[in-house]
Amino acid sequence: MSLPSRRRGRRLSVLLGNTSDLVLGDAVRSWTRNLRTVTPALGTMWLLLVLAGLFTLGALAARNLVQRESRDASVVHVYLKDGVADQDVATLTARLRGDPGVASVRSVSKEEALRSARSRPGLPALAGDASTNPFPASLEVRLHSLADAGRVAGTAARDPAVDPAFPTSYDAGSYQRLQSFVTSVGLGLAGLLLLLTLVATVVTVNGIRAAILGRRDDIATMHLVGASGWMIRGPFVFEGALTGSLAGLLAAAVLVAAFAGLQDVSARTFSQLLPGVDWRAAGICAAGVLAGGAMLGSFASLIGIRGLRA
Amino acid sequence: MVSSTTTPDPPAIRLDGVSFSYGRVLALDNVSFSLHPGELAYLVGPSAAGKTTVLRLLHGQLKPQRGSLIVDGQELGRARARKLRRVRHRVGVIFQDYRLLRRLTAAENVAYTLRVVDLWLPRREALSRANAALEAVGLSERANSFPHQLSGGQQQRLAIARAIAAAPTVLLADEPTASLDSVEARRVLALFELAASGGTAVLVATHNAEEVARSHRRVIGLSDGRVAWDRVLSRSA
Repeated sequence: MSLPSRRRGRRLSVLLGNTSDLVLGDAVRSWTRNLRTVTPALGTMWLLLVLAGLFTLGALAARNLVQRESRDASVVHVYLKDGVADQDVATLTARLRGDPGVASVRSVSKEEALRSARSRPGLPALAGDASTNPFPASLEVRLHSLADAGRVAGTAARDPAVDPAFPTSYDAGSYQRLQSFVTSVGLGLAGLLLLLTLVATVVTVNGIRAAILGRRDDIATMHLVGASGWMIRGPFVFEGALTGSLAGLLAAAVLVAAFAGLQDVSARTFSQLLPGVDWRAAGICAAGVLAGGAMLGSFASLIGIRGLRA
Repeated sequence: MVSSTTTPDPPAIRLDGVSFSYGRVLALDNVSFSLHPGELAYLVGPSAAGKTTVLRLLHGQLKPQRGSLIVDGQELGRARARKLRRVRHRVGVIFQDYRLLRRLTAAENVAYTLRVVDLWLPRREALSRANAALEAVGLSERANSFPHQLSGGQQQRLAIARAIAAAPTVLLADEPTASLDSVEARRVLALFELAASGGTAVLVATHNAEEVARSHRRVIGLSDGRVAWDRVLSRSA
């Protein structure tokens, strides 16, 4: 490397060193020296992040539960005409399998339908009294989404292999009720999460702004000695990120401990307190709380320092 | 005896018909004077004469409502934030209330300003120059103390060290010896003399008639926001 380019490299490293020290170094020094002034904001963020984390775990479990119920409900029975030819059934089966909304198609014989009816409350008597098997053979069509049930059932009902009197198990009213329940639960959870995020942001902004206001004189002095905007805002934003990261770390620890406790209780009581939520999901949630804390802290500082001039 | 000075260099500071009011209260009325590089002048006058307002205008904290104000070749009346920052990098100020950064040590306070002024200055060199400035004001033993751990006089000396460390082209001081004993005050004034001999234009606002009389320097007297007199005190005065 030539002498001028080495000199240029050294000058650049000095510039980078100064820039990072004026922002990051200043922030770390200031943060460690003023930890007491950020404690209220830290406590508030910690509490809100713990709540957000626990809410997310609960929402995940609720989503899994609703998904499982929805999956079970996403089955349409297509009843076949008595004495229909195997070729017609095969054609219908192939057509249904070709539908993008259909996950799988299984054939249920009259005998299997009768066996199944005997295991349902109220139906064994009916099944036993009948001299012949009153239950038709059917195709059990499992759908990807509950929303496709009406369309798939309507298509199947027009097929010549299907019983024209009672073509499918699809009941528009009950499917729509279930669909609107799933939608409402989803919207409700999203709304609550949004509300919690909003409350967390507002409370954190106020907490951090209070800490920044306590250092208004320092900000004015930095302006007066000719510091640029980034030299003033940078350390505060990074300090906010540090406060948020610490709050996030503490909240993540509480979240992991709470999840471990729930897992223990679940194992001892043979129950599922958080259905479908495993350690991986809990870990991702804890990492999200940590990252969310850092982002919330930086964002709150950025908002908090706006408008503070000499 | 009164004498006048003429310097061929363009003035480092020039106020031309500057007026400024705080609401309805007229603080400065048609003030004009200039200060050349290497010149040291005292700005004197009773309380509310407008001394601090002059310094705040020269540092760009206030904008003149009338007249022209030039510092280090830059017209400050219409200066925007970036230009103002550049001017502030060349103007050292000793504020009446010190204005130290409470979260930084004495050495860091000085080094911070040095690095704000010159981003290419290595941290080690900034600290070394900061320590030299602290030594010049007799504060080298308190380099690692925070402002709240220093007495009023020490804080004032720290503010002086910060102002002179970057070798500014203009040095503005608002009552710089107010919290100092006579020995410390003489030491600080000697530093101003040294800065002026190095080419810095130094303007000191003060109440201290004794130090002004002893200085044999130019004195600008303000009264009710106007320049009442502007003369150089001779040694026989």
